[in-house]
Amino acid sequence: MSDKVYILDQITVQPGAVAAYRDAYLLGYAPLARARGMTLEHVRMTPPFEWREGSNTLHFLWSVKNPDGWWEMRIGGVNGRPLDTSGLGNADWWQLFAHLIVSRRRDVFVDYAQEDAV
Amino acid sequence: MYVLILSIRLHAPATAPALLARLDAASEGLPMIHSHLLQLAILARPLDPQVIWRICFECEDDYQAMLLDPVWTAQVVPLLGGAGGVEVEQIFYRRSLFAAPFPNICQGIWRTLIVAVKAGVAVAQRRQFEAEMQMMPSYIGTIRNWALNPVLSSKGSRSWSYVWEQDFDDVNGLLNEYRMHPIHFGLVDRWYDPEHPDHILDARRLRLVCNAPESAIAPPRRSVQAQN
Repeated sequence: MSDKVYILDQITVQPGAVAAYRDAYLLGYAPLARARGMTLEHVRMTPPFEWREGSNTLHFLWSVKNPDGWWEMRIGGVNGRPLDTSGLGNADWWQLFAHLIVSRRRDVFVDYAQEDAV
Repeated sequence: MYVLILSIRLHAPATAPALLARLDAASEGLPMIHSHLLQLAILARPLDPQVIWRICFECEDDYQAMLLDPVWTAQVVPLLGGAGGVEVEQIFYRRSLFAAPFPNICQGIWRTLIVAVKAGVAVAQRRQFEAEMQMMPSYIGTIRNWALNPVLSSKGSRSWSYVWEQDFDDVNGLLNEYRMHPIHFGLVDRWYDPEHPDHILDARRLRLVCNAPESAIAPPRRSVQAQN
């Protein structure tokens, strides 16, 4: 079984804002995340169309290579520590685009081997 | 049992041994101290040594009496005044919530994390945080004894909310299993992570680690009278 640790951001966006939020996330947050060792595994959307009248939920699945990678990611994301030349830290980024979202959650996963099931 | 923790960060490394000696000597003149742990911090920045003094009292009155004692005011307080290039944090709490299944641990490691809850956090969130912190020792076997208690009062750079203490057999128990266990990074850490939507703790924390000849968390052992 892999030591990978997965981080899933589930973000429900304001009606009509899904494309704007996806772009902001991929252009703004993703480079900061990659700079501290995170790999973007996939981006998914539900319901599976851009819903103008309702809220889409975006799933951004990230991974780090192991628990050590988790802590490297965390130390790199401490609030107030600029991660690029813009001086924007990760926690600051979430505040900057908070107006586009309805709610968000972040969950942590590890692989759970199917072959171990009895 | 009531506890006062002093964290004394020095900007002149050479002064640490002298400070330890003077505090130890002062403690001899303070009979209201029930027991204490006085050590130089380990795993700290080498050029900024840190003296840790954890003082136990049987009751709050003993703590108040110590603050008024001439030995404290004349010998200890001047050492904490900052004139010698020191930064001091004082945290006072009642050690009421704890578990010490290994009270006889010897030559181990005492580690504490002192945190501040951000303003406006709901009581339900605080209770959930407390509950999850208390779960950690049942998953992380290297935590031998532990205590989690709210701060009654503090002095220093800011106010503090909780003191989370653990005894380990050695530093490996802290740096490896404690740090790497999934309950740590996968559940509890979200309270601490400033970019997690659930986080409730201020980013500034006080981490103290030192050698401990015996458990600081376990109830003090009663002296045993020789039986004839």
